[in-house]
Amino acid sequence: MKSLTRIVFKGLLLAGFCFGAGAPGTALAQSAENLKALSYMGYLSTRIVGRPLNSSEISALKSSGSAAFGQIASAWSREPNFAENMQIYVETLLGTSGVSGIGDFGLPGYLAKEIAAKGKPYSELLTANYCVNGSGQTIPCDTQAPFNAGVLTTKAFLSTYGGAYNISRAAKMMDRFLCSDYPFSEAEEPRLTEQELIAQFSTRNGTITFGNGNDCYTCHSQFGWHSQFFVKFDGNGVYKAAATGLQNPSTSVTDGFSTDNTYTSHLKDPNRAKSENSRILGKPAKNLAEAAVILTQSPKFLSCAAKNMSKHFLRLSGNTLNGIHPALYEQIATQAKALSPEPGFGDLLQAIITNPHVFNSFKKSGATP
Amino acid sequence: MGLEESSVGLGSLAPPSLEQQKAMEVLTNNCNSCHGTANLGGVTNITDPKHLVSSGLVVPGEPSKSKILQSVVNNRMPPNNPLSTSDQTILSEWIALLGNKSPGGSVIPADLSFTMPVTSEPHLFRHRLSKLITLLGSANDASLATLKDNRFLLGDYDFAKAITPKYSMEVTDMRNWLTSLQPICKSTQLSSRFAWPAGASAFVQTALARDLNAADNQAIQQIQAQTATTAEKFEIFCLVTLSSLEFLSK
Repeated sequence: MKSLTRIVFKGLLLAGFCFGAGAPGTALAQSAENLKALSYMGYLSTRIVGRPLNSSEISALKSSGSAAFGQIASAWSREPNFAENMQIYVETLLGTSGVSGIGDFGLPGYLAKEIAAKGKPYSELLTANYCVNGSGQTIPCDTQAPFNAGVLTTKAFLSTYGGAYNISRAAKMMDRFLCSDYPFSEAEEPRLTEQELIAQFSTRNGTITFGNGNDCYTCHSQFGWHSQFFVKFDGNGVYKAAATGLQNPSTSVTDGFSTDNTYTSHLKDPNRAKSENSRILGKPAKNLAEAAVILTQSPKFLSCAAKNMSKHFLRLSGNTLNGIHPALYEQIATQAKALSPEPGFGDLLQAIITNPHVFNSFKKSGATP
Repeated sequence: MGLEESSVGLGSLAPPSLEQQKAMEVLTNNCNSCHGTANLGGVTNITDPKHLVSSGLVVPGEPSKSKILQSVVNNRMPPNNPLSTSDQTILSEWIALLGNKSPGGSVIPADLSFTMPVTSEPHLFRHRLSKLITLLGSANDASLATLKDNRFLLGDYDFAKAITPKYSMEVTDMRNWLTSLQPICKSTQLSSRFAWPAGASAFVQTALARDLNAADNQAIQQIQAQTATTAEKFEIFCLVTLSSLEFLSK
C-alpha cells in the first residue's frame, strides 16, 4: 500500500496535478492591477481567515481589484477563524498560552477571541471587566482582585512578567499597548521627584547607567508611577490586599522583592508604597483598571494596535519593521476610527488591508499573481 | 493628518507633537504676558515655534545652546518666579526633539510603503486540525491521536511550555504531516462519511471549500484506474488532497 501511495503521488506530481489551478487563459484577460489585488488578498486570507479565497472573492477581486478589499475584509471579520486568529495574535503579542502550574495561561487569548467574535472594541483587551474560558463562557477572572483590567489582570500576564519592583509588568504594558519605552518625555509622563523615590532609583548623573545611557532616576522616576499599579499582585498574579510594597527585610531576599511573594514599590513613603493610587500619562488613577482606561484613551493606543497587528499578520520584523514610518500606523488608526469610533479587531485589520501604502508594499515585493 | 492628503501622493504635515504642545503650554502660562504681543526686551511671539527658531531663541536639537532655556535654567526668566524643574525639562526635551523635526510638525513622506516580505507559509496547525475535525465530524476521533501527539512538530505552540509558533514547513515537517495523516485517511469514520468515489466532491468541498475542478476529476480518474481496494483508493485521494499545497497553504 505504501508503494502504491508513493507511485500515485509521484505520478500526480509529474502530471502537474494541483488542486485549485485556475483555468488557463482566463487570467490573461484581467488587468495586471486586479491580478495583484487578487494575489494580495490570497496572500492575506491564509493568515487572517485560515483559508484560500473562495470563488466569490476571486470574482470580486478580478472584476473590481482593490475596490473589493473593504467588503471582503469586513466579511472576513465575521468568520470563526478570524476570531481564532485574533486569539493567536494576542497570545503571540503577550507570549501567553497553554496551562501552567499557576493557572490557565489561555485567558488573554480567550478574551481576544471573544472580543473579535462579538465585534467588540479592541480597547476591551485592557478594559474588560470579565474573563472568558476556552469554551467562550464568561467566568470570574483568576487574580481575586476587586477589579479587572482585561488581559492585564490575568495570572498569565502577571506571572509571566512578574519580577523585582514590578518593572517588567509596567514595561510590558507600556510596550505592548503604547509601543513606547522608557524614558517617556516629561510632557507625556511627568516624573516623580528624587525625594519620593527609594534610594536605588534616585541616582542622578551618577556612575550607574544602563545600556540606554540613562541614569537610574531618568527612567525609574516614571517606572515608579506605573509599577505602583501592580504592587498588590504577587508573583503568581494573585491579589494581596495586605501587600506593603516595602522591601523584604530578610537578607536572603534579593532587592525588589517584598513580603508574601509581592514586589517592592519605588516609593519611599510607606503609606504611598502600599497604595495602588498612582498616575499614568500624567493622569491620576486609583488602580490598574483605571490606569488601563487611561492607556486606551491615549492617541498612541490605536496606532500601536495598528503596528502590532501589521507586524503579526504581515510577518514584519528587523529592518523592514524598523524602517516603517510611524505615520503609516497613525493613518491606519485614523482609518479604523472612521470605520467605528471604538474600532475592533475587524476594523483595524480592514484598515490595514485597505490602506493603499500597505497594498503598495505588497506590490513592491514583486510577488507574482 | 488627513487621509486624503497622503493618498493623493502629497506629503502632509504632522500635527504638533505632545512635547511641543506641552512646551507651548509652559511658555503661554509663564512667558506670554510679557513676550506675546508685547515686545519686552526685544522678545515677542514666544508661543510661535517657528518664530522661536528663526529668531535664534531656540536652536533645534541643542537645548544648552538655546537662549530661551539658558534664561530659565539660570532663573533669570521669568523674573522672581522661576520655572519648576519639570517645566524646564519639558522645554529641554522639546528642543532636543526638534533636532530631527521641523517646528510646527514634521513633513510626512507621501509614500509610506515598504517592501513587504512575501513568503509562503503553511496554514496554522490549529486551522488544519480544525479542518480535519470537520472532515471527521468529531474532535475526539481516535485517528487524530498521532496528529495531536505531533502537534508541536507541526507548528503548534504553547508559551507556557516555552514552545513558540512556527510559520514554515520543511521536508521533515512534511514527512511528519504525512505520517500524522495516515491514520486519519485510513479511518473508517472518514471513509464512511465520504464514500469513494461519490464522496470525493463533498470531501474537496469540506477540505478546500470549493467544487471539484477539471484537475480534480482527472486525478480521481487516475486513482480509479489503479489496482487497489476502495479503501486504498480513498486513502490515496485523502492523502493527496490533505498534503496538497492548497490544503497546507494557498
